Amino acid sequence: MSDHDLMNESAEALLQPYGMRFLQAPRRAAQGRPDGVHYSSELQLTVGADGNPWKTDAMASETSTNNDGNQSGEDTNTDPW
Amino acid sequence: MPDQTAVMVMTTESDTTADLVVEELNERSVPVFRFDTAHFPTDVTLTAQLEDGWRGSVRFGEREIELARAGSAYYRRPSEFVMQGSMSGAARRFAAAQSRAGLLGVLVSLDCLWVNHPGRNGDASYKPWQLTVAEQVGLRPPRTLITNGPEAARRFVKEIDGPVIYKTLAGGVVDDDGVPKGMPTSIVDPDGLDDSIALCAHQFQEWVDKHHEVRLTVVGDEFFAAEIHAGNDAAHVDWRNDYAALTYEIVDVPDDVRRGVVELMCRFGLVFGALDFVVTPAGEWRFLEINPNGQWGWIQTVTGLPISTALAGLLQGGSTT
Repeated sequence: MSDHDLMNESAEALLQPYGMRFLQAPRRAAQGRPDGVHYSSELQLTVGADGNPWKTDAMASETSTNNDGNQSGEDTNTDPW
Repeated sequence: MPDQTAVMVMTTESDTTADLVVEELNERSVPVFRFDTAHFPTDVTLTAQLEDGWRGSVRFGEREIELARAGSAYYRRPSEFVMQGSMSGAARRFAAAQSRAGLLGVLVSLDCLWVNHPGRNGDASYKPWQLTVAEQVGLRPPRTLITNGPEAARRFVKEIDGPVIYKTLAGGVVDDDGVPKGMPTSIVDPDGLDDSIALCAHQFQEWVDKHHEVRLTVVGDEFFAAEIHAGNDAAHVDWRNDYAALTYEIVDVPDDVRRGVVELMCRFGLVFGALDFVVTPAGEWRFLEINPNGQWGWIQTVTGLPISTALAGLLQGGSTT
């Protein structure tokens, strides 16, 4: 590969489709979970320190993590299908 | 569905939205088998033999589900298959492809209700296809151009003679050199329509003047609609820009919209969908998109709409009617 080719390849690598100009960095990080919150393999859901279902972040997981790459906050996701 | 059937829930352990459904099923004493595809093949074992349909089981830890007992499956947020790190890259790619085809191939061929069948999710995820069907069933999507032609984009903007938006055709998060970034719907600057449009397909739509938006969650034949009112300019363009600026109200779905949505869901073979509409100042509902595996937990949280109850009922019944 010639220097000319390398320069062209380098220049092409900098090209971005029009739509990418609208990308936004994460606004805020995903919220951490309180101490004691863990997944219960018995109940097959997340529970609090007291062992009861912990569901308060069903909202947070879908709304506070947008743009930070946490796919739980997205309507579309990487699908193994 | 016979009493002894079980509900498969395919999602991550951290999916607290799925928790809402699992909790409902637990309270109803409906057997649940929850696992994530990321645990296959390391911690999940599939054994399936073709004997007038697949006979065998899936085992995950101490739990096991007989394939014949699967009455329904909730395909929520399963993650990518994870192969053992001790294999070469080529071996991992081979193993992942085989695992995906084997596990998912067996499961989707079971005679059970899928919410939704991943193949139907895949079909309905094509936004141009959604828009075609939406137009056919009278849901009045915005005028739309999909192109990689810069001149066509400039011509479209001129023809619209008003604000035009750009929105992605696929994916909500983009990996920007290792930094995951979101891409909300954005207003187009006509002077910025340059040749970079030629680098991939782009979607442009007329801006539909909006009074508010509606997130309509459909579960079987149940409709849960919530008005979303934006409290600032950024959220007015795309409510995902600022959830804190949003307020919600439960709303009834007009009959003509309901008929169109039922037809759209039917054509795509969906039993669940999260649809977005613009409602104009004149009160007209205009279809924006359907998210076949869209989010609904926060809508339930802020409105009290019993979506998880409906999902649990659908999965327990194994039927949409």
